[in-house]
Amino acid sequence: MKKILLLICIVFLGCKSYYQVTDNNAQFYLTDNELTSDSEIEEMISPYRDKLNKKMGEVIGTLETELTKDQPESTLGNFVADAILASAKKRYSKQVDFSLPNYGGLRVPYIKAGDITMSDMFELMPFDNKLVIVHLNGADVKQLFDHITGLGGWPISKGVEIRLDTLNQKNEYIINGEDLKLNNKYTFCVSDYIANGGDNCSFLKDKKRDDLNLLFRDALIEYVKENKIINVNLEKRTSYK
Amino acid sequence: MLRRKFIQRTTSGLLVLGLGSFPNELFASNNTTKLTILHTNDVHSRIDPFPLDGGKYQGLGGAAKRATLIDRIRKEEENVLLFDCGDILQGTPYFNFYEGSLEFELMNKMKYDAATIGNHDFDAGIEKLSEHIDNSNFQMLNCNYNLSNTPLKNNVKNYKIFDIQNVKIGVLGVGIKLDGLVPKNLYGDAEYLDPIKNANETASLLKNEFKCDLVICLSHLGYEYESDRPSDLKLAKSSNSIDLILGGHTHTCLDVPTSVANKNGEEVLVNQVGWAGIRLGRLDYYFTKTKKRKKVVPKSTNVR
Repeated sequence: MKKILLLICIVFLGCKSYYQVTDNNAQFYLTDNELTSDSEIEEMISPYRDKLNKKMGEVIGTLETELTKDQPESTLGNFVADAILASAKKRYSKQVDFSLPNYGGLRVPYIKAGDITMSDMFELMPFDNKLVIVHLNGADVKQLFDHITGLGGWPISKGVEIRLDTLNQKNEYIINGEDLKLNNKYTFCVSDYIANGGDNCSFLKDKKRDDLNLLFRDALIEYVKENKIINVNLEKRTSYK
Repeated sequence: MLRRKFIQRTTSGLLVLGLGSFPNELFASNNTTKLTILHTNDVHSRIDPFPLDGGKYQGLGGAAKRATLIDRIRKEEENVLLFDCGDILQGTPYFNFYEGSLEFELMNKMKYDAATIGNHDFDAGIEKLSEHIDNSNFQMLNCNYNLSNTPLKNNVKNYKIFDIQNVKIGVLGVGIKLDGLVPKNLYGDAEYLDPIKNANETASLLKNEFKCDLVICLSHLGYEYESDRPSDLKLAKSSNSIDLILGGHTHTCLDVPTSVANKNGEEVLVNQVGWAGIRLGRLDYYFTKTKKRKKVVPKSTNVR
């Protein structure tokens, strides 16, 4: 009897069936204007949206030409770099040599010309990162610039020229009209995210720094409100030799 | 509607093995089970469509339109699984002011089945993320964060098995290194473990112990890097029990999934659909009851 049971078990296990993938195919859909909006979802969103629009719809300035995000240099990057440097300088009594927003920290691909709203600034910089001033010697700056150029180039403030010669590994770095000097001391404005080692910048973690107690986003908002009309050009801040 | 269809593989596994060339119609419908997998990644709190400002993305995205699309597919297809691959949160003022509640509520309403954790999902803190997960009807999955000393210890699982008309679908989640990407005070005591090792072990468990017919990995590792960081392509190549990797993080927009040969030379598909809910990805799998598993190898073209 046991043998029969065993046999039944073996037969049963032997008949264990699988479901074999015999075919597959892939496609994607664009969530575009051909689709109507689901009314129940709209009802869920609208109270949130209405409250937000009151705060976020405020027009804080005018953009003359579209800002776009790109590497190694872009109009969106130049705008952000100059804006945070200006706001940092207002709060810091000593020299600030440059600013360096991280490329990945620009969170929209473009801002269209026209009204600049609070919402634009929140989408550009949604994170609650704060600005800090970091103190470096020239050798540290070289390491930093080598790092960011290795990542394809980050936005940088007016006055810095990075001339890329990646083939020969002989990039030229010019800060406010002078070649980067390895023994000089420099200060720069950056988000606490980067100063804390984000984006593989762990070499910045132990550097001397001063807090500005200013949100990155608030620095942008302040700059737009003060300048009212924003017009940004490409200036070969970072370029190939 | 601008709907493009890419038939990636019309060849059946049988045909690949040269055992026959039965057209699909010959498989009687009672022998074949069809599963439709829908997926999003890096939606980043894009609850509304991009504004009509003349920009590249104007009018695209938006939860209300995605819900219409999903509903329509659910009406057409019997078996649908809907997944998200992380970075549900952060990117619009909705998150700054409401900390993610609406994003999760909308996913409940759309009946997501599972999701994995993206780095930005920690942006309101691990306690807040835990609240969102507790309020959600879909399973949050991750197998490479040690969460035992965190609020996520009971509400995040390594894997979940879905039974689709007796076809067993094993789904696991895998996440990116948090240190250097997320401030420590936000991710708390979540401990990052080797994603490749843990994903492969979990996948092996699903395929060999639980006898899953299809193993899907929801990943927030990123598609590919120049450096040797763990990525979806690396995971695919190193694997032996994963059939499909749905990814996120790098906002990679693939028109067709990438076909990768795993370490046994079998096919793994890797897919990712950009960001912001601009696209919804779809894969249809057809299963036929069989006595023995057959090896499915990639087609010779476009294999990474």
